[in-house]
Amino acid sequence: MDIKKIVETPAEWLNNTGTHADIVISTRVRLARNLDGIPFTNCAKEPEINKVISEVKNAVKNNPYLTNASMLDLSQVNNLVKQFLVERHLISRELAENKKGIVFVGDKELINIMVNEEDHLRIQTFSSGLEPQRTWQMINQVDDELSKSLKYAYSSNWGYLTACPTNVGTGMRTSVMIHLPALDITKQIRKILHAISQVGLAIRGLYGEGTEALGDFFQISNQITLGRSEEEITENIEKITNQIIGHEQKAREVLIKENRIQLEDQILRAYATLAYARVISSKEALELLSLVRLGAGIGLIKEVSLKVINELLVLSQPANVQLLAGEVLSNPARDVRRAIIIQQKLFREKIK
Amino acid sequence: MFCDICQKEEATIFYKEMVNNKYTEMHLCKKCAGEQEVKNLQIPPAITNLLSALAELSAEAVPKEIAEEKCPGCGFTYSDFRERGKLGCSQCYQSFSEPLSNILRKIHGNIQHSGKSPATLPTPATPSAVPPVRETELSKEIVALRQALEAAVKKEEYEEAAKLRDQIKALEKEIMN
Ligand SMILES: [Zn+2]
Ligand SMILES: [Zn+2]
Repeated sequence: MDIKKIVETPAEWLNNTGTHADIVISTRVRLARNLDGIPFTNCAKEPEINKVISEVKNAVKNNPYLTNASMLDLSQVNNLVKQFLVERHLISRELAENKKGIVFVGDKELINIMVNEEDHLRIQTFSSGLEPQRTWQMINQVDDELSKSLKYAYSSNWGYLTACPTNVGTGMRTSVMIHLPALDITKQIRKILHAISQVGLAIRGLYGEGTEALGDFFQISNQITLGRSEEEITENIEKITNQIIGHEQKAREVLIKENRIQLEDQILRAYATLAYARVISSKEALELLSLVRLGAGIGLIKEVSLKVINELLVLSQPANVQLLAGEVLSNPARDVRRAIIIQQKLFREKIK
Repeated sequence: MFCDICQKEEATIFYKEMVNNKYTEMHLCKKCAGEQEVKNLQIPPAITNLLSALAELSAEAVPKEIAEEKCPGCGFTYSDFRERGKLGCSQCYQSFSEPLSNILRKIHGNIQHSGKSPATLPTPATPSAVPPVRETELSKEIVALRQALEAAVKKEEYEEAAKLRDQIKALEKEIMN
């Protein structure tokens, strides 16, 4: 795999083309699958792990949706590259820590397959904006095609059998990455997050399990995988996300109507800092980008596109900064380099 | 203007809070606003996660002979699963079906899959593409039984559900043979 090419071109699902892309950055669907007759990864011995790898390799080769996919053996790359792939959402932390992990990355990073994660296969598809239906249909086709050459562990009672019972059944997790700055400014965010957790959905920060919610970016995903069909899961998350979007839009309208100057002041100060500061930490970058993203969303900042801001969310992460710089950097040096990267991208890619 | 909370310091920060669909305006000093500020949001934990399900079920002691019995597929015991939070192989679902179904019900509110199934693998020696009449009849029966099972589980009639489940299993075996 050409890491350098991935470093320079952020994924297509950041490009702000999907439904409600001003509020929902992306939709991701993941399916957990295991091969019949081989113990789960945590229990499998080396020959069995290798067998999984060779069978999946073969299935990927025959899959028309994965003809341009490239393979990366994670045992062959250093920790910085692994962290970079986690920041790009191409692999999970769990896979990064696994000695025998492999990832297949499809064209434009819209499809990928992790091998020997907690489950033998973790298939993922991505879209820009709120697109649960389309993203599900995409992964459903990839999965059907894979199951023509792989024999999955499946039972009619429990569905697709997974290492952890939280994933059994459909093995499906749909997550939307959502940006809710106005709900934060108007102090409604806690109430909304609480409500979401009461309807069987999980909320996480930008980078999964246990990460704090910086810059008002959240991931919302289904918790229940057993006893509901994939269509039901898809519809449910779409419906609830649409409700949350409605609240965010309303909060934005109210802020503009009643607090315009303060709001614009806050946003433009954030923009000025991003544009002129010499030292920017990754935490500060996320918080400033959040405000600038709101500014672009409400039409206050016209010269920076949402696409550029989305890409900066990823490019300003620590390992991304170092790979873009082409060297390992100490913490303070990284913050200086981050400011340069942000400013280059803001000004080189100004839209007319 | 003085701060709405302490009434002493100059109010420099304004914000609106929405309560019952109405916005309340607040004028606060820097210090009081800082206390009001809820940065680093505490994300409420998901109500249904494995650890809490396991913790809740710890009181319902699993009988020792079940807890120590080994899964023939991987050698895991139910105790191993409790310790690691992960099963060893796909057969574990069968081996620990009883204690697991309590956990599955806690996590998913359900114990019966209702999503897609794998596209059929091309079997090398299929005598005919059309399944024999007896088989399709059986399949229809299974579908009906499954619906009854789902309904029973929804009504929390677990004894009835167990009966239905056994009937389904028997029919499935018949088809396999
Ligand atoms: Zn005060
Ligand atoms: Zn087992």
